[in-house]
Amino acid sequence: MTSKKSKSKKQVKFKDVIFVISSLVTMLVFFPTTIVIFIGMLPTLVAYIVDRSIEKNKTFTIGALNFAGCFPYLLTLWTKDNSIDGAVNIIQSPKAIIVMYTLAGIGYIINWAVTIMVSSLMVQKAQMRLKRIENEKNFLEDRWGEEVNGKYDLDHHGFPIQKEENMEA
Amino acid sequence: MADNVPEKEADRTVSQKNDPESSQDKGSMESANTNNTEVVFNKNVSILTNKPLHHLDKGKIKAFAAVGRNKLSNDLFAMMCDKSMTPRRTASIKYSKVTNSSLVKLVGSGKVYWPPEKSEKFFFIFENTLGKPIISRNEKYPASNWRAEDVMVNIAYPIISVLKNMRDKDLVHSQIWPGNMFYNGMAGAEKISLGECLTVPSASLLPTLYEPIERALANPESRGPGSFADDMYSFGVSLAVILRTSDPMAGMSDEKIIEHKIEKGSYATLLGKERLSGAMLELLRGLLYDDPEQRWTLEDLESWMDGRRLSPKQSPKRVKATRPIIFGGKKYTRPELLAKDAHKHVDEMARLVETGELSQWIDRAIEDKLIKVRLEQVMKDISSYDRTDGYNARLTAAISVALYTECPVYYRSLKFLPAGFGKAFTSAYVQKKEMQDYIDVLRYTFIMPSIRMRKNTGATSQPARFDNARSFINQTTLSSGLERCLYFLDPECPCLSPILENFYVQTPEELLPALDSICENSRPRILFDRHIVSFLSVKDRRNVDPYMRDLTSSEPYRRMLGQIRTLATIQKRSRLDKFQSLAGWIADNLEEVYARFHDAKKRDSIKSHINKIQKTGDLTQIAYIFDDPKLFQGDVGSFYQAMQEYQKLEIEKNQIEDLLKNKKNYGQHSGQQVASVISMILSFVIMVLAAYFIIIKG
Repeated sequence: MTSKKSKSKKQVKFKDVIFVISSLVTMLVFFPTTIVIFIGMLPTLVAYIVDRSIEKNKTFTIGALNFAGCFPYLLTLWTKDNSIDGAVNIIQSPKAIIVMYTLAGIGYIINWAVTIMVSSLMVQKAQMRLKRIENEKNFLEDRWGEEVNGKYDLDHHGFPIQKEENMEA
Repeated sequence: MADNVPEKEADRTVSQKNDPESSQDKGSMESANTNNTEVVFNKNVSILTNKPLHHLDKGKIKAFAAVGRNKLSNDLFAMMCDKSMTPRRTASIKYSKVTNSSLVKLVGSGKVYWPPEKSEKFFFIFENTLGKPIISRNEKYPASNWRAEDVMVNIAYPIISVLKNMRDKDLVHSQIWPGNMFYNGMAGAEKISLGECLTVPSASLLPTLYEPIERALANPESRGPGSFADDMYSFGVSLAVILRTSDPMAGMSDEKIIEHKIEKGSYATLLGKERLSGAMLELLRGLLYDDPEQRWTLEDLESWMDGRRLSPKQSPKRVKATRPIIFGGKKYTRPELLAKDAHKHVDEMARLVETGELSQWIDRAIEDKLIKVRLEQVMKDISSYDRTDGYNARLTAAISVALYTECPVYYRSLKFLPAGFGKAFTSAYVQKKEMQDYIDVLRYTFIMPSIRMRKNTGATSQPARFDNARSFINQTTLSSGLERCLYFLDPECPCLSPILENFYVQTPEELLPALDSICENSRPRILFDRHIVSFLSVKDRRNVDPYMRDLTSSEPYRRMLGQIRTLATIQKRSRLDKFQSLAGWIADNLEEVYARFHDAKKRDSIKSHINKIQKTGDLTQIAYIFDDPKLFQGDVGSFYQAMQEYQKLEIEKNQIEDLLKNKKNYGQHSGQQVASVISMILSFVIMVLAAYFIIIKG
């Protein structure tokens, strides 16, 4: 058992190492792209750090639009001057930074607004369901009697035992 | 259950065709045609309420003139029975088959609504061929001094022919005495007719003188059905008092006369030194034997009438002690007389028994082995008696029987022959007398020696009857107790329920119209009381007992269902009419049954269905609804399903409420998911547009 656990630990570490190495290699190979993405996607990085949920939905929301803001400049980089200078030129352009960060902001706004909207809709829906449940319960009580609520000790005919004793008395 | 139906129906049909009992059914149905002075009975008899015939009255039993129509005689009389003296309805079937001009003819019998008392009464209708009684009914012990020839022709021969006819029909008259013999207006003014014997229990109105010693010792209503030998004795006494010139026992009480009969014999007591012709002497000696086995039978009478001389039988002598025993300040030499008086001083009798004085007397002064054996047997039984209140009385009752096996049972105020207990019980109950003594007789076993030691016929079935009655009286269920004993011990007793106070219900079939009539005029709180349940259980055991557990249940809904099923069974089996009022009462009193349905929808549906059925008066259909076993089971099953559904809703409600407690966060996760999807779609669109403008447009 212990040997198995140590093996799996070793494997995980190995995978991580491979991933980190391959990522570093990729970053080095596509270094201009890495520069643009790193600077352009800073809001997403911040969102990732701030978002404590497991699913990281907020990060995805901001990240997706943030990446959409970076995407035209990446295309420009890849089609015109895919060099470190080209990348530096892009990140030095205020317009590019505004576009990237604005879209990230829009992503944040979408996350905020839609969450509020959906949450409110769901609260309303739950409250309506509660009303319906209450109505259904009332209907059952009207049709089957109060003892249908299961709060009484019943005899084998389904009648409250206390009530039966009273009848006999 | 169904096995009984054709048999009963057949019985009813035969009864209607062949004998006057048929009017019993019709009379009850058609008694409504009444006016101020006439009550119409069976369509063809009018009882005249304003014409009482006092000379035919028998105490509480009142006689009224009646008029027949169609083929019936114009001149009839009706005898109105009293509930305290149950009439001999079963004997009336045999009676109606006796055809003899010297016996008053039965035209019909049955119950009819009697406006003067605003209640149903049981009537016997007879042809009024009777003149006046040959002696006044107040003069019970006459000395009429008739000529022997007149007695033979006008009394003896006609009555012997009646007795023969009655014997052929296995019917005991038990009311033979001069007060019940009438000058006959039809067959000749001199010849007499014998009056009826159906309106009261056997011998209950027969003066004590006319009863054999053993029966005379019992209270009149407690003498039981009697036998042909008893009729022969009554006939003999009647002849004796009509013939004799003087009463040797004039002014003496019944008790003294009985004592004299025990000491000297009946013949000597009745006739003293009266001089009679040889033939008449022989006849009276034969009829007045105190030992029923020695007494003349009808065959002996026929031989005598044919002129054959019968060798006189030697009457066994009664045992007499060589020295008396002192009891209650009196000296007794005969065990029969001691047995007769023992109940007057029960404490003293207990002392005599416990000191052994009585045993010594039997051993040394009586020297009768049979009495000794009986006494020893009774002493053994006594040792098992509870020494509770009444012990001395019970002991004395048992001792009396050991001394004199044929004597009645003496217990406190009661003096009864075992076969007559039922009628006496009914009479006491109807007259609201103290019943404790009767209950004691049923509850304890001291009566058993009296039944076992008795020589009379019928003794074999009596122990079982009293054993059953004991089990009934000791139970407390609705179908047992005193009421059950009433109907069990006196099968001719009508239902004595206070609910049926104004009705005369003799059969389960008559119960339904009576209840329907009650429900028509009022809405009683209950319809089945202890009396009705016991009555039905005794009269119609096979059909009613299956529902007895329901009828006697402590749960009101089961009682109600039991009542419905019982009534429906009677209606269906006897193919009775529809009973709308009764059905209406049932429909109005089903709340307890409806309450047993969980499903309000089903309840309402059944309620409306029954409300429709009640208008038809068909109780069977109402019972049929509740007889479906799936009805209640299905309801309970559906109820438990509904309970599960309710629980699911409750769980869901709790879950939602728990989630809503943190409203701020409720739905955020879903909202963020939706936002991320929107964001991704939007970003995809932006990227596609960017690619389009940058790559394609340059």
